[in-house]
Amino acid sequence: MNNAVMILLIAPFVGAAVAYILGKFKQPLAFWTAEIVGAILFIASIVLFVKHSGTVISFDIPWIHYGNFTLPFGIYIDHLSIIMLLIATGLGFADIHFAHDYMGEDPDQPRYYAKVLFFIGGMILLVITKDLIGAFVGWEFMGLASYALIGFWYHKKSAADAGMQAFLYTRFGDIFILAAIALLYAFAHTVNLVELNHLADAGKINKTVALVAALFIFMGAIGKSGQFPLYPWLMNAMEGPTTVSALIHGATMVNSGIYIVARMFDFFHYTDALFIVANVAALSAFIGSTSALVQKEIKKILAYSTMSHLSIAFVGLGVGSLAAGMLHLVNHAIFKALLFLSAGAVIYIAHHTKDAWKLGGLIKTAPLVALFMAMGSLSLAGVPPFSGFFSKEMVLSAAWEWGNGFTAIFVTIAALLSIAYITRLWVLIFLGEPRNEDIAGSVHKPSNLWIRLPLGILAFVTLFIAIWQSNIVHYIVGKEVVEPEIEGLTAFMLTGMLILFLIVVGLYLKGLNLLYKIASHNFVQTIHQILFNGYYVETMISWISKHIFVNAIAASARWFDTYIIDFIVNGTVPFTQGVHNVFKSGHSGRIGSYMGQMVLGVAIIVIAILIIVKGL
Amino acid sequence: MSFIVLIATGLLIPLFYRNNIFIAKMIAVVAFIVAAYFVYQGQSLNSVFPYFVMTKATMIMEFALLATLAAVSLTLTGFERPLIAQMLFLGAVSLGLLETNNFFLFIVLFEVVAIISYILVANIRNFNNSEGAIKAFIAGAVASGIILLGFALFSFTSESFNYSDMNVSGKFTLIAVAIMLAGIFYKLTIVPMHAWAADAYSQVNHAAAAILSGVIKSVVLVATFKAFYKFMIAYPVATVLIFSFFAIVTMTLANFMALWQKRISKILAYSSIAHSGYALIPFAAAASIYSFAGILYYAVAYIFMQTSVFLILNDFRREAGVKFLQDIKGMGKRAPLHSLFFTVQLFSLAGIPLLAGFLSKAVAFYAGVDAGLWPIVLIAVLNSALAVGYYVWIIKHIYFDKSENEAAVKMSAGSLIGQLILLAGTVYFGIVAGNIIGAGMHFSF
Repeated sequence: MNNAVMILLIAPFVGAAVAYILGKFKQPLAFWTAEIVGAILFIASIVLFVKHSGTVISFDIPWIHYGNFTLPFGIYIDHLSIIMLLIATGLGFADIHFAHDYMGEDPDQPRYYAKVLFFIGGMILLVITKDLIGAFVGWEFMGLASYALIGFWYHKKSAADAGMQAFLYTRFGDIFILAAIALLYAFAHTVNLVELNHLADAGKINKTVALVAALFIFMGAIGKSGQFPLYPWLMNAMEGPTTVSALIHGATMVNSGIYIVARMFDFFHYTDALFIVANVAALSAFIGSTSALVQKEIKKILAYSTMSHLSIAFVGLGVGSLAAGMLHLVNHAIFKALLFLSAGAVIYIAHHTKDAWKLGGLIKTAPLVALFMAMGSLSLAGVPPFSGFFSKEMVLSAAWEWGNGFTAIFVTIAALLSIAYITRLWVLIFLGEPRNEDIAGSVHKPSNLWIRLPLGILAFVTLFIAIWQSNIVHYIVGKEVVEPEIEGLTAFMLTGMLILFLIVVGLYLKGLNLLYKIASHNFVQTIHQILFNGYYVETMISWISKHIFVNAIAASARWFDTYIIDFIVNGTVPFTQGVHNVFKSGHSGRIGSYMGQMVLGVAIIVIAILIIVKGL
Repeated sequence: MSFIVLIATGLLIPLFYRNNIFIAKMIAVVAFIVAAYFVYQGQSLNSVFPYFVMTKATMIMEFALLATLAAVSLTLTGFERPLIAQMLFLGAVSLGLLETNNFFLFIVLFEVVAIISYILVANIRNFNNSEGAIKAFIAGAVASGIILLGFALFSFTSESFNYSDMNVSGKFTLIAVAIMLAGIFYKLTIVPMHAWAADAYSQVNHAAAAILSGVIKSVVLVATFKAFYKFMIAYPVATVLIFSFFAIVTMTLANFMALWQKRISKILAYSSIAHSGYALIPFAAAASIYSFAGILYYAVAYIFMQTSVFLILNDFRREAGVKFLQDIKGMGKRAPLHSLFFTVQLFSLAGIPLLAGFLSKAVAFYAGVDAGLWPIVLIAVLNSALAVGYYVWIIKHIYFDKSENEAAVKMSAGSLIGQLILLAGTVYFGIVAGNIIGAGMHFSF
């Protein structure tokens, strides 16, 4: 087996255990172990990138092979995997580095770093595995790590609840993936991701089964990538440490839904499930971008923007452009990690203030952080020459060319609105006068090595990755891509963005009074409430769970449990004791009776044999 | 070669263990490693005598055996030290028993193993030990008589004793084989030849019980399957009827007996008997191509987990005087390492996935299903569910009850390493299934 692959598979889990154990002896050792392991993983990914461009690493290990039953565990690393590996390990490394200061005062650091490394291990497993089963294991590892890290400060009730919510919501989607695996295993006799694509290309797979399987897998992707209607967990996941939000709920794990669709792109294409992908994603993009407009907490704004941008990438895939979707995924991962970590820096220097309305004027204390965050924001908004511009442009033109009207219009609105909410966030944090004197007075300067350096590197990458956009596309897709050109789209987008930018800057910088006046209007307040609560989807899901699942289904199950199951369970005690007492009489402890039993046994066998012989 | 190494070390080792047990243990471990190396090279007894054949399946079983014996040797202390020599002898003889392809040698080596087991239980320190030893010895003597009677009958009808060209269609063959089996059932503790085991396993020194119930039983399982395979194929009806009947009776009776015991060693003894019942299913399913894989997997998994639980119980008894369930309360706090090993191995015995106990049951039961014996497999699965009751009951006492005694129970380094070896076996074979199944599917003498 390839050494680099071996390291990628094993090092995170070993590192997690080592970081935890060493950290128990001496707190800082946990960080340094994680940092070193993170660096090793990143280097291993780079080695793969350098050495295996153009070749595919592929081997099969039969995990359990028994008669007709085979559980395969294969490794398959192509360009798509390498890109995902670079994102997971590179951003993971940056995130661990950043956590040195951000988590520096936390007493539970060993637990934190162990979980983060475990998460990275899960992500690596997902992206290099060849079979749905291995992918599912990685998928669940990430879900577990996500649950544990959202609830990292488990003594806070809101954090513990958010962890539980994330677990339940994503698990709801995961059940469908498991069902899809079973379906494919039963009908297509393979869960090999590569083979499934080949089968789909050759049309050798039942279309109905394939459609159901694809939709089930997409259901899991909806849960993991925070699409409509399973997105509320992503917003509440912001209860976790910001470094966790940056890594897991901004840059890497939430991409896994897109990754799995991209990995099975031919399969999805064959089944026509992409149509549904595109429409659900367009709706989610719209919901995310509009809700982001009115949030108060820094991280919630970013969370809704994450949802919206993941949807944009999904739209790219959904309308049939693998290149556009994956390119946006890559760009988004980088600038979203930058934005989240900048937000983390802001929250850190402002003593864990998360409400953007309480900040303001921070540009004086932290000009560099403001600059880096601005670069991330511009990329997110899709302003040239930042990377976000190119990928968004690609998705939009693909949507207008190949998608239906609904998809194209909603995704365009979402793309346009991104400049509004991100500008609003930046203006609220960095410009204007400090709105809260206590916080403003105690803000301290961020450190160079631990905070500014990773931000700077990410900002640098965000800016310069724009140069290699066509190379990235070529690297992933493997051939020249012909993308549709929509006349006037760029001009339209830029004009729209400029107008929105001016409106937002004007309103939030100079026209706050006008803003309050508009906001006090009843109709506007209703809209604001709807948007602020994420279209009340969470309330609806809770209502359905409570009234249908708990009160109806669970109540009848409870009746069955109380009167039928408990009766049986309670009956086992007297039953087993009775049987025991019958058997006990044979075990007197007297060796004479034991020998008698042995002779009886011989007699039974001999008599049985005689009967059989006679019978034959 | 490995045979000679083990025998020679076994003869020399009494020179060391009286003065320095550490050196004796190291020598024994080195001997086991060297033996394993020769096994890996493919040379054991087969390089000296023509009546022994080494296949991939025997090789895997021999690795498991040598690793377990090394682990047991490492944990022995105090007055148990003479057992180290017996470990080496037992290793040597077991290699022969696993590799032989001659029925006469099978009987002889089986008796040698029986004699070693008498020496093991003869390590008597108190009244209970002597009661267990006497019971084991008398039962063994009677069983030997029965086996020899059967073998004498068999020898009338067959001129050759090689597995490959034995005469299996003689006039007395069926009855002779049945009588021999009845004798061997004593060693496998099949109901109704089990009662001695329930007393002996729980009353003799726990280290000796670990070897009797874990090591010897696993080796005999595999060797018996190989020895009787030709008969089982020749008489399918009798095979299915006899083995199914005894499998069901054994597992059911043992599980119900185990549920209401208060003495931990007795629970483990009955659990061992119940496992013999499960292990008979691949015998009944001998016609299936998966039967040997099933028995091999069962033996490999069982040798690690059963040996481990009795060794931990030995530590508990020596360090904390544990005998009954109430004595083990709160051990999770007092002896965290012991409790962890104990819990994992008990879970494996109960058949919890990702541990060897689960896969061994899965493979063995699958053989039963493949041979069309699903009603018996169904009963076995229900029995496994019942068995979880008493395993979890022990774990509940360890972790969820409080004890008045707070004194910590320490784990010696030898014990820790030994338990780690056994745990590694349980976990490894709980995840990686390919090797054993692959080896077991190509059954040959």
